[in-house]
Amino acid sequence: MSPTTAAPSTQDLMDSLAFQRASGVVQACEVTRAYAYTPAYYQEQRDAGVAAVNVTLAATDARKGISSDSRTFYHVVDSIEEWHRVCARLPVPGVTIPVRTAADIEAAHATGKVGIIFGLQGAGSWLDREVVLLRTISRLGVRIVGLAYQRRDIFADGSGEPSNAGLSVYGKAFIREMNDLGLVIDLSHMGLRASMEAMELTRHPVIFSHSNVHALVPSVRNLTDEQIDAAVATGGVICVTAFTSLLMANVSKGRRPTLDDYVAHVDYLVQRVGPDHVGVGLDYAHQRVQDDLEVHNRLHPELGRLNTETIHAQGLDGPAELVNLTARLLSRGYRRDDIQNILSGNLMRVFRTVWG
Amino acid sequence: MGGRDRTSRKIRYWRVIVSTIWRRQEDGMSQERAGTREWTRQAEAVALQRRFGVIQGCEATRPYALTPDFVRQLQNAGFVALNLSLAPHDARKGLSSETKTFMSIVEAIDEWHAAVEKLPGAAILPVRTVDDISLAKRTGRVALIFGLQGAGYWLDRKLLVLRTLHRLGVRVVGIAYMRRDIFAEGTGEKADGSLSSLGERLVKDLNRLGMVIDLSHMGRRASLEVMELSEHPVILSHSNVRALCPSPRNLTDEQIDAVAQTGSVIGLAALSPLVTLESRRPTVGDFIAHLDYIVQRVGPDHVGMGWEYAHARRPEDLVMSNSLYPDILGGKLTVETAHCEDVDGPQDMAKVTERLLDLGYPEDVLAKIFFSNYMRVFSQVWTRAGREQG
Repeated sequence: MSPTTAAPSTQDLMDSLAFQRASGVVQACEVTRAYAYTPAYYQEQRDAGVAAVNVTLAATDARKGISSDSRTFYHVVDSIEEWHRVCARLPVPGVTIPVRTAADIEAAHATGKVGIIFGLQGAGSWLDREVVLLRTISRLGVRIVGLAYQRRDIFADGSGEPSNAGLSVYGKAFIREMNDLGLVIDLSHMGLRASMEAMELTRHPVIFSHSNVHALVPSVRNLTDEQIDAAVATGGVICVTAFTSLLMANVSKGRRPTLDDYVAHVDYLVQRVGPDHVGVGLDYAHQRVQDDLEVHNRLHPELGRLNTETIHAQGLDGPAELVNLTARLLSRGYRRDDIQNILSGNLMRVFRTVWG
Repeated sequence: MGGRDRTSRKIRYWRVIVSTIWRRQEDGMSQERAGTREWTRQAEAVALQRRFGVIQGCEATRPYALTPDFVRQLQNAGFVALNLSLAPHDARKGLSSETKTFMSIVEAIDEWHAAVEKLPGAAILPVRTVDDISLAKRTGRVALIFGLQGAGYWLDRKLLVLRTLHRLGVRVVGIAYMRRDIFAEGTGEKADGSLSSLGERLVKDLNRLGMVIDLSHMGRRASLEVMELSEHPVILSHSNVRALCPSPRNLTDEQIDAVAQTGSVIGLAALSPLVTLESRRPTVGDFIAHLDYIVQRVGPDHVGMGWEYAHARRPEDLVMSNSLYPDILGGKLTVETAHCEDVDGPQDMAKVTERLLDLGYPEDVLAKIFFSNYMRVFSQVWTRAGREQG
């Protein structure tokens, strides 16, 4: 299927966009901060047919430390309120915030709204040993939760920990709690062993909201074949990310990966496990600021030096460019049903199962 | 789903009826010696309470004491809603608006949910709208209103977590608690100062969010200012009459008149040091005197119950009040004498009702005092449903 890498015609792009908008897109990993969720950016998402987006709450602050004190929980609350405040000022039809059920996303798509899913990465940085805060954020509308973020916390080792120590006693208990509460477990950033143990333990499908294929790019953040197969065994979804350092082995040269690199990961997954377990999780932030990335660079050097210019793949830099992916999958002969599932259907299946 | 819900509601309904008959028989037997006339009077009182429903404007019961037996007592006495005071203990520990005390409220909310879920038969219904209270009344359940005292102890200057707590179901908010904080003066501050500029903003935010402002524990002058400023009526969930008992916690005639002018409601407290300053345990008669004073002064539209009763109160629950506020509460509260005699638990509501009947209060006035006065304020203020926030 190699001759299809030629640039698509304008007509192809328009057809692809129409198809994409009809399908609806569920973007599994969005790190845009609330202040950057401007009316113009909201409109960009709507134009791309984004039915729902999993926004990471308070990512930067939560990553600053590995304490589990109330201070960082406060940042999460702060972030939730900021999202409500910002979204209340958007033009009609506005957003559905927060998304609580799969039906909320269907309704958002039907009425041209964007569904805002509250998600958390690295909840282990601020969750306490008691389950109180997990239940509280669930009441406040959080629906997707990842525990360890690169480092060790009280629940697990992240993928940046060399000891790869797996889940702790609390970690195992919290996997069950998340099942009971109907929260989707997000295993991106968890260590290899911790993710395998979580997938062994969970009663529900899990997601990797933004992780790629280790066989293609051997980053600690990417998934081994063993992890891919285990995710499929839970009925879960792996959402391919456009984040540069997970698409290219060496990012320090200032090069940027392309759409070809991204599609290679999609192809690999589809060939290994079929089209029903792949999604899109760009890890995109509108108006990223270098200061946020400097914190990241300092704390997580194993992911390479990041800068705002080159952090996303060329050709997949934001929702407006999603159509490039859709057009490429169409031109490579993917079935329309399968593309629709990759854009939204597979995640919707997980959400229906876990959230009810 | 709906069918099962209906069935379980039906079962609950019959359980209430059966337990009531049972209870009546028990009551009847123990009262036999006192004579049938007594029993008839009490039965008449209880029947009125159940017909109108009773809202308890200030409940100090902690989650550990929310036992099936206590809930049955509430149902038998016709209580349909309680305004809880969430996590007062931790919140009162310091004068910070630090996140630590916010955490204690988050924990208290969770603890209440856990206590409610543990009870059989969905007997308790957490409140988000006035309809929930009506529903509780219709189905023989008890509605729990999440109320908070002392915003100055847990609210930040950004007033940010106020919104979060609204999302989590909090519907009544008291501002200053006994002492000075960033918003206002408490009743124990001699300076009797004004609302702060941040306090004015808080009042506007509470109005906008549709949360009921509770002025018990707030200083005299600040409370008058809030009533002037607020777009909505307020409640004083547990305060009595200063002319009858000159505690700093009680209300001057000027405050009582402002309550009437703003359509607000005073919940009458059964906490002993607010009923009498004499060194004796006050009685239901003393309690009724406060209620009657307000009714005589401003009519029957501005009073309700606000006992601050705590079921199964433990001595340690009173340590904080005794040690932190001896100048206001006397420092000698004990589990045995914290409340008026005969206003000490749900079953005593009948004694209050009997006294009111003795005073010649007509039924329509009782309906107001038990239920409608509070409902008037709640329906006016709780305009944001927030039901979608489950």
